[in-house]
Amino acid sequence: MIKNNPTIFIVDDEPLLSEMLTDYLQEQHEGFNIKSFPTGEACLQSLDEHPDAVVLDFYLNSKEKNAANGIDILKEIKKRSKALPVIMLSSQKSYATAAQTINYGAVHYVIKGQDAFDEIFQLIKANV
Amino acid sequence: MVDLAFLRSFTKDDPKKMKRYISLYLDVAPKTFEEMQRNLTNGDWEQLRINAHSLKPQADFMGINSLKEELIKIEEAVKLHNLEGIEALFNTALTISMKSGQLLKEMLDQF
Repeated sequence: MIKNNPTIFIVDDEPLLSEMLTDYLQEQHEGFNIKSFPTGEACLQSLDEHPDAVVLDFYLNSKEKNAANGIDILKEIKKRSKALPVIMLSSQKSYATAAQTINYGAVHYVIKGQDAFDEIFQLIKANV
Repeated sequence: MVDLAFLRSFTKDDPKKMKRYISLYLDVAPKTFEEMQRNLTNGDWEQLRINAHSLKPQADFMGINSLKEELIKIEEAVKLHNLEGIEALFNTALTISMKSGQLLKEMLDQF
């Protein structure tokens, strides 16, 4: 990790995962400045804060049916900030979905589960 | 039915964090099932699949493996358009969710 105080955006409509991931990352590195967003739209509105990485859930419409899904948000992020590392998150073990997100510029596709927290931390370390 | 081994390890047995995570789960799970019940009634299969999908990792974190398995079955049934037995799958999942929720509430009182 090159930066001491990187800003990390977590975009997930499930507060349990956002809180657990925030706690985990801050335990690994106190300098993280972490912001959580329940929708992709809220994340896009804050992109001018220049986050150093975004952890983005694939399904963002379990709570709000009309909310944009992760792939649309990924496309928009990449349109605005091509170099910003985006780590996609989903509990869907699908090669096609993973390949699709990588094609649109995600650095990796992480399966939600008990191992996801450390995997995300390692990816942030490698990309920030 | 509920195995908190992962949560204990994740929180390093911190009761405050355990309580916070379990409370968040207990807040979300019944609401998700209410939503799934509506999806089932309205035949909104894709939203039913998304709701089952979103609850799955949370059940995993709480160590409710039987619920996780039932949610996977619901997801698969919708994906394969195999909707005949979906109400039975939902009812099984709901029963597990209610029983495990009760157990988690009892565990909360012990922290």
